[in-house]
Amino acid sequence: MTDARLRLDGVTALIVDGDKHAVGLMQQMLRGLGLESTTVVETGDRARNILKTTSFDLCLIEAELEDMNAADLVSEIRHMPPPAKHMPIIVVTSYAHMRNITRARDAGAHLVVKKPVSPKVLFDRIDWAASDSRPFVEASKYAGPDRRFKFAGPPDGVGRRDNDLSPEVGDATEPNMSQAEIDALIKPTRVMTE
Amino acid sequence: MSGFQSYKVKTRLSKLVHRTGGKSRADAISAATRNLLAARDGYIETIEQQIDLIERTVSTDAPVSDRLRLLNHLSNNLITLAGTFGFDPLAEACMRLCDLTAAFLERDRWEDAPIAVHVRTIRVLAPGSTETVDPTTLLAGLRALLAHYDIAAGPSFTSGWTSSSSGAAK
Repeated sequence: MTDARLRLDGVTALIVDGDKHAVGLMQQMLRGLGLESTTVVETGDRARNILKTTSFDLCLIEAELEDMNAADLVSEIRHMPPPAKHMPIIVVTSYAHMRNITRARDAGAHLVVKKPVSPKVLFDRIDWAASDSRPFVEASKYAGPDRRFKFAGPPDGVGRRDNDLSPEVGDATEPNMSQAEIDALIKPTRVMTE
Repeated sequence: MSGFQSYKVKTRLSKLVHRTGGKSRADAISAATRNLLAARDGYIETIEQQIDLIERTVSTDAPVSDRLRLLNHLSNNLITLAGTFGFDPLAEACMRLCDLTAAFLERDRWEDAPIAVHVRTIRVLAPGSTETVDPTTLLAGLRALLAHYDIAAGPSFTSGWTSSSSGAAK
């Protein structure tokens, strides 16, 4: 992380926040990091409209907007046509709206960051969003980056997908396996479809 | 599970930031911190204005729910400004006012005394305040006050700034 280099010139960011002071601080930091091109809108409705005609590389949304919750906006964006649908979204939440963290994640935000945001946190989160290798998931109730950050296996050992491994182990039918072979076998994996 | 899809996406952000060149993490953070420092004076003036506005809001004769909502909004926004520029005790006092106003809003209740104590504490902890106070004692007092009203106080303020990047903070 400490050796990371980011080239942010040419990156376009959409900031959705009704607090002009918070926006000002964010823009100062982004400029310092090298990201000069920011578009600011104050409401979810304006964000929705501008995203219909303009594409951005990154979107920063305040958790509680004047006209809607960030989670609702994120969910709408995730159902827009690409590239908006896949755009990395960071929800920035202030103290009074911390309860919205889980909602924002479940709506399809890549990351949720707490205000005040420091330059260090901002740099690292942009780096993370750009390097995020999680697959994009589209299901009936969710669209967005896979919410699982770790290959931790199915919850409580009970898989819900066809390719989850069974917790039941039958009688041995072959010679003993090495620990490495066993580890490789039980490491949870997912099937990616392009 | 019908209609379920999982696929890899290479975003434009990923392509752009990983081009050769760019800024190292240390240089980028340093430049961003410098930018904040350059804007510091203007924002400190804004903090003063926001505190004035909080004080005026308390004494208006607007409906209780409107006043509470506005106080909650103003103190919430002030956390960001105060926290960014290193006024951590001020940010924490604003967090406690957020806790208080949120609870009063929920209970549809207004009480002058606890609100006045919080607003006065914010004033005392403001940038440029000449009053000699121990912030720890003041903030502990706010927590005790919230406990008296059976209101759960949130966590202490943590800015997330580190010594290497907190040039803007002091």
